[in-house]
Amino acid sequence: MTLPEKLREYVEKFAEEKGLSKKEREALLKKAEEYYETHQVDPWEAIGIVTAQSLGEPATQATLRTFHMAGAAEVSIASGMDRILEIVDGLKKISTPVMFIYLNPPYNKDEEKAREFARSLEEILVMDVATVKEDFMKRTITIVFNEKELKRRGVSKDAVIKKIEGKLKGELDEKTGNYVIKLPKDMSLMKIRKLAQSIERLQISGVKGIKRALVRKEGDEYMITTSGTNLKAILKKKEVDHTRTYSNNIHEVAEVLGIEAARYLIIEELYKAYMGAKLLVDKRHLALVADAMTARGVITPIGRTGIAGKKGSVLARAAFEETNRHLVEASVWNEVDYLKGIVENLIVGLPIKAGTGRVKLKMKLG
Amino acid sequence: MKNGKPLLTQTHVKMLKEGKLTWDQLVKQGVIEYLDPEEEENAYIALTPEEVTPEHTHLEIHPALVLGFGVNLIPWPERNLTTRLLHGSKMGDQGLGLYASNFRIRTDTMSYVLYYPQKPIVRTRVVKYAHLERRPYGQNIVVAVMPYEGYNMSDAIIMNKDSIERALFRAVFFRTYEAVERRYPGGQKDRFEVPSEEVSGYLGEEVYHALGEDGIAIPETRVKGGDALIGRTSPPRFLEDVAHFGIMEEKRRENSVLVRPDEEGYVDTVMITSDENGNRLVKIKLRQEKIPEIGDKFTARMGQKGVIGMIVPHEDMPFTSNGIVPDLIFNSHAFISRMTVSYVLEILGAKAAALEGWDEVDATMGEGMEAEEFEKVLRAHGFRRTGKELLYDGKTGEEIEADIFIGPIYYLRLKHLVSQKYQARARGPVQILTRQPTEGRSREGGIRFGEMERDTLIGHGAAMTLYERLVEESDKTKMLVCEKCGNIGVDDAIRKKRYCPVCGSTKVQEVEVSYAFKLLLDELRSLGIYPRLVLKDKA
Repeated sequence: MTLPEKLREYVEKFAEEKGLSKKEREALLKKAEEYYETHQVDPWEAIGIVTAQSLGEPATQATLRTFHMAGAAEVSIASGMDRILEIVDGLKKISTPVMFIYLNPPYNKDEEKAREFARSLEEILVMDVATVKEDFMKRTITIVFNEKELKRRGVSKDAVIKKIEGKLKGELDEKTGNYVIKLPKDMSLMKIRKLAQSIERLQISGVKGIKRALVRKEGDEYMITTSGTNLKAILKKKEVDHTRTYSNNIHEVAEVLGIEAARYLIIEELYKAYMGAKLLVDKRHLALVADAMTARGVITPIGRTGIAGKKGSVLARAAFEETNRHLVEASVWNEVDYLKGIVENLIVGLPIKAGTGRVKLKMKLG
Repeated sequence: MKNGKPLLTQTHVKMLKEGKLTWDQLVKQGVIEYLDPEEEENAYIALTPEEVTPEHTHLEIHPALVLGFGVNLIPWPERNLTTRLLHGSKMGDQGLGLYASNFRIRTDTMSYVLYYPQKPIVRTRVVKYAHLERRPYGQNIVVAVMPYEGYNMSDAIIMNKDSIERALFRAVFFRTYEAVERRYPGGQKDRFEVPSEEVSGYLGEEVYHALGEDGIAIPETRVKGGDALIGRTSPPRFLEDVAHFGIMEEKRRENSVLVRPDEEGYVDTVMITSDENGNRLVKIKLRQEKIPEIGDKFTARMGQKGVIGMIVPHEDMPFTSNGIVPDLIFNSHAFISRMTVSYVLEILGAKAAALEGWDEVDATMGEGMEAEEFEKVLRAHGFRRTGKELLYDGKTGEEIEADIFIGPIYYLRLKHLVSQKYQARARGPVQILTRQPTEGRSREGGIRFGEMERDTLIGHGAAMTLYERLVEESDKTKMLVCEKCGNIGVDDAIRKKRYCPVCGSTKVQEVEVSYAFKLLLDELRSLGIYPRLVLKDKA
């Protein structure tokens, strides 16, 4: 058994740094190979259950601990648990969507430029800078500008008006500074209300879906974190380093960057969540979860709607949840259970096909 | 209770003492008021008369009464951690003693009575007011605080065998068994009698040895688990049974009340009355002696509980230069995190009281005696101020290097006895439906090998261990399966023929499965689902 390329490179680099002789280097490599071999999972070991236990036990402990510390406000652990569930359940709408945008030079070295770019990302709607009022008697829609907000967000009145004019023509009331749109007398009230609402939601500038964008210094460069995500639109911008930018929404990443990227993201996000709760978990367990969730090419949640509900065996599915449904459907579709998994064999009363149950002995002849 | 001054005056107290005034009258007059916890939220209650201000709405009768009854039985409660008091007050309820002076004629389903209950040497005033001096719940014993051969680690305790043989903490356990002569529709009745051999389900002569002619056990007979206490026969369950066979004589069913399988003792009290429907009702109390044994639970009053880890003969116990041998050895490690100061104080106080001949050491909250007084007494009697003494090892006779803290303290025997809890099973009864072992101690059941336990074996890859647990030692059965249609076959032993009842094929194979699976197949068929088994040669 030889080491995988990456590990081998790592060991060689280590040897070089320490200035080992050729003989020592070979000895080290041999030792590393030995170690690698002994630390591999044995054939037919039930890694699924080991993973489930390794992830479940610390999570249970953490939950118990939060209840135990009732009063001592330790919200971070609870929120960490919520995040783990969010990932494992493969939720499409996550509670805190965040994007990490890395920038191309020169933006990543200049704080002012980065800040300016960040501001340009924030989505601004008409309703953020003005109030839209409809008058059903006079059949008019009046846009009352909020000067304070306009200034804070760095939006000019003209830009807003220009955006509105793209939809409907009106005129600026010089006295009040409001923008008034006159509508035909025969327009229905319902239509007026709908029109007003669509004006409210007109986007003036920024990227759709991004609520806030903050500049942060990471190492020696500036980067942007956002609340609200829109990976597809952000990656198109020339200021953005598209090789490193990502969001924490697994479904979005799977769609934009592909399922492999999503797999990697699941591992990293789970790791972050466990580490945040100060729970040490081996990354290989997380990798197995991520593999299982992405193996079908789409994000499959863990649970009865996902992996457990899509098992090949009728008996295994029926043993988990929704027993009646699975049994009835299996009978309707004439399903066959080949007794290949563990649960099926337990139900039927046969030794499981894992661990020592998988091994068969043959007589050595002669 | 006042406008800056307590309504309860010295006059009231004087009149109370002289009997001219009763407590109830004071309550009626509004001098004394009872507050519930929610009312307390809107009251400003002073603890002592000295701290009363015009803002106060009430004055506590005694500062100790801020604590509950259970906590007030603990000596020096103010010197312990709250958690210990909570434990102590909870366990105080479980201490065996003289729980009611009329226990002989009471019919509690379960009750315990201590042989020699004593009033505590160190006690609070509440003990007196609750009349616990006359029906105490523990015994004063001599405790040495030290480890002993590792048999008292992790909250275990060592007990002196000879002390136990001198009836220390010995108790009786009563269980009431009862039976009613029920009336059935159709004018038939149960009957108390010694069942005759014709009765269906007859259990054998031995079982009925304790019964008298009337079918009720004779007092003071020794009975063991499975023996009948009340012989009872019931009419046949279905009238058709009789008609079907054309036999006129009714075949009655055995329906006796038997002693529980893990109990044995003497028939104590037998009571015959009638229930609310006028049916004859018999209650029998079974008396069992419970001697302390390894695994029984004991505690001091301040929540220092433990189970017996070893019973050591008198001669192997450590002893003082005066020849005092402790009844119990308590591990010193139990103090460090729990900080039960009153345990130490109680030993000091009781030791002083024993030397001086005091009847009582007061340990009421806020007014208990102080350690200095005990120290003075101990010194005066030639003992060390700290209560520690030089002890000799009972096994070698050598001096023990460290000084050992030793003295009397009040201990309770708690009602959790191993003899009523331990559980083990190698083989035994199975459930009718699933053919799996029964559940629960009273049914001779096993301990469930649950899903999480199952997962651990899978995790270890221990396939054959798992198979043994779940199939071999549980509900393994042989089942015939038709090779052709996959249905369950039939073995006709009379005609020596094995065949499939559905397709008629005689090609049936014997298959080993768990009975639960066979049951699943049956239930599926009953739902109209047709499960087929496809057989393959074992590779």
